[in-house]
Amino acid sequence: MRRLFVLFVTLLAVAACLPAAPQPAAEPAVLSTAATPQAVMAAQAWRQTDAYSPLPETASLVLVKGGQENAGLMPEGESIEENRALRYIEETLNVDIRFGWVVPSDSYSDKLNLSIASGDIPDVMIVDALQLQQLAEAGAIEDLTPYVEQYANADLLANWEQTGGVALAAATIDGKLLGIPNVQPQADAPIIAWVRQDWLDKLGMQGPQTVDDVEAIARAFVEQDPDGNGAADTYGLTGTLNPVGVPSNLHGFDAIFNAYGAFPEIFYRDEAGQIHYGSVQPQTKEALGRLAALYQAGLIDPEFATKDTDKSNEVVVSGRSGLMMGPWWLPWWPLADSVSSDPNADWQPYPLVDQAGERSFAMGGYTYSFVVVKKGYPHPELAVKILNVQNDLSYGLNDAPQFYPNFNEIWTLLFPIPFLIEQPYVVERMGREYQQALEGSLDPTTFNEAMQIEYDQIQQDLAAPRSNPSNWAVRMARLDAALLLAEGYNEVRTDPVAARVFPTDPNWPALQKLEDEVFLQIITGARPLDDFDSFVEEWNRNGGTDLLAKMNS
Amino acid sequence: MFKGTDRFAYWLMVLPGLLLLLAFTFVPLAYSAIAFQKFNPALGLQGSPWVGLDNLLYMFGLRDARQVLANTVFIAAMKMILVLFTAVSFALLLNEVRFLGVRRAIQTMVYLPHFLSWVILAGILRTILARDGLVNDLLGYFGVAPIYFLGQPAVFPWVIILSDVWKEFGFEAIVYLAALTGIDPTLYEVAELDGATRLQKMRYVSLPAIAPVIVLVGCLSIGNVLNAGFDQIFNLYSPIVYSSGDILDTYVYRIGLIQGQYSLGTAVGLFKTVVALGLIGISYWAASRYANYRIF
Repeated sequence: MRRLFVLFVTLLAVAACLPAAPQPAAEPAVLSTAATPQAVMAAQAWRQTDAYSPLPETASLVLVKGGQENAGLMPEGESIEENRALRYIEETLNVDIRFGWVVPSDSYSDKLNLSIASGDIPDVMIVDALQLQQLAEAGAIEDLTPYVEQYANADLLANWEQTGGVALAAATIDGKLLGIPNVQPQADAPIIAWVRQDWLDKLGMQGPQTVDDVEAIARAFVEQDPDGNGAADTYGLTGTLNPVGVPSNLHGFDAIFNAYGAFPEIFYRDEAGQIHYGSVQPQTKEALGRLAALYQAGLIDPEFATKDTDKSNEVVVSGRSGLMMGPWWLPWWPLADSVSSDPNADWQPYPLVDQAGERSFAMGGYTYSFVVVKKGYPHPELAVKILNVQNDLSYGLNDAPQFYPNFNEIWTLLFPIPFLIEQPYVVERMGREYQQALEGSLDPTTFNEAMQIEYDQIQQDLAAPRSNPSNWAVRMARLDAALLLAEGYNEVRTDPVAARVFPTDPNWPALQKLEDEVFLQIITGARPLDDFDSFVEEWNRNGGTDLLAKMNS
Repeated sequence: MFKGTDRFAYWLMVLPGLLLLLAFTFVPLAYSAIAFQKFNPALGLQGSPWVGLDNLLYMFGLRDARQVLANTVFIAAMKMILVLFTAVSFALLLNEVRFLGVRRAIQTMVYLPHFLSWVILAGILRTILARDGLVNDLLGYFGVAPIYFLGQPAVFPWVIILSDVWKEFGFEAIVYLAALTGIDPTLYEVAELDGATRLQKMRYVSLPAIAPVIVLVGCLSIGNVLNAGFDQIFNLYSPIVYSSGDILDTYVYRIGLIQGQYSLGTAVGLFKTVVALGLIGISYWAASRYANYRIF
């Protein structure tokens, strides 16, 4: 899951500054560090503001990091510990950054827990909600309220504000801002259906709108040999051992649940202000019943329940399925691989509608992780300042140099604190801007560098569709899928209060295990649908009722 | 027997092993205290609040814990019994093969899987047990409908048990083969003179001769009855077979490390340790009682 997370975080980093923002016009795409000599730096007025002011004396800062498994992507002669972006940050802020340890992404959280438990806490670190809570209880981290107020630059503040205050609220415990929250728009992207248009055309079918359409298409794909190889070797819908889940569940059945007005794994607040849990609602039972019927009819990959994401991606890439559910960025991974192996594979996105004909999608929160500062570290403001500079480097703001042509692939390695504070809904906005540029109502030369590269790729794919899978992926995700999202949809989100309560609840792991098991067993027919009722009872009895009471108190 | 410097040298020899044992077995034991705390890594062992037996009581109240315990005992016991039975039968049969070269070759082939890690074997098993895999293809020839080996709670434990038997019986058989070569050949000659058939020689000479070893191995393995094989199950299971395939070790791993419930995870681990200690006591007692086995 974490790998997936890193992937789409990487994708999101392409996101743009506003077209109106000034571009460093004369600067070439790749600069050496010599491009920021002290004299030039001193002449830039913005550097004198609090948000960027260098420390009077060089301070040392110990960080820790995941991402080691991708270290091979770094340019010649550079590393996680030594690269141009890092040096730019060090020089701008007059800080000496060192890494206590660098580990593969999967072990980051475990390793950090070990460091915390052994008292070897790094000066600044990225933590999850549970770790934030534990560190807060232990009084081990600084109150960042004054530092964020004084040092955060306008871009970061605006991005937090656009979440309606939810992001900062998630990081506030007992009135103190103990962590700097991330903002990841569509980190929890809606799950939509992706279908092979070439197969649909061959069978004379339309793209899906409803669950009934999905069923008809899945049946046709199973029975009518859409790949024309004369063998009954194609599956209907793909799936994985995670039948539901935010954020961004590849091959998840979330879209089908959502079409039934069911929002499993979401703690949502109703109009009366009460928090409910989606997994135990009657709509969820209906959707499970439908999924069980689909499975029984052989319209879902019969082995989905034991396949992880990679295994199910293989099904898609090898051309054995033409129907999968996933977020808007699916074209990058895994669909580009499908196009590579079969240039006819014309995947198209189709959001499903519910019984009322509306698009309603389950979303997670805006915020999943937090930057915290160890209690007693003498320069807590450094965390905020580094995030300011990183944000500039990402989007070419405030004269920040663009060091790397492949920035989007390696930014998590370059940055000392690989962390995004993004504009919400940036995906939709970029999609609209690309559209406007194509129609001629927007001048594409006002795009920042990252967007210009993407805009070129979109144009190339429009000229010769699917001739280059990377270009195709950019066009399909950034333009076609983004425009579908831009048409609007209802969001059902986990309430920020609930988001802080459930991960620390002692009963939660057992409740989740119960749910995972029961859902999969009902869908695969190992249990009758009516066992859902006893599941709800058991869920309530084993701590669910208490959990909701805690959230609603 | 050993004097002064002599003895010192021997101590020096076992010292690295003892240190490792101390560091990885006894020091962590001290951290079992986490089971009696509401543990917070940021507060550490000293700072976390004590909650008495809360975690243990909670654990015993959990439907999961009982189910997981039952799964563990069932899988581990079946593995023990079947590995023992297969290994003994195999050793007896192999002992009858006359050509030494053939014997050696078979023995090597059979114990080879023991040296492969479960990470690799699980990948292979997943492929051959898939719906379109080797096993289902073979069954298909006999008109058997495809079986979802890794996704059916009723089938999954048997996949675990039988694949473990396949992996381990060859290695286990080495002990019995060694015992068989130690049998005085004159016993067989005497049996032949009395007109014993091959089967009868097996039944009345070979088997009684290795019986003490069988009893010993059986007794000693009682201590392992809560070790159902973490790496094997971890690499093969999925939520759909939790009900029959989740064992203590996988449960502790998920609850404790993945979901951050350190105290509950430690409580389950501590429970396992205490029961295992009792079982090892029993196994040692049984081994000394029935197989005259002594450590000290």
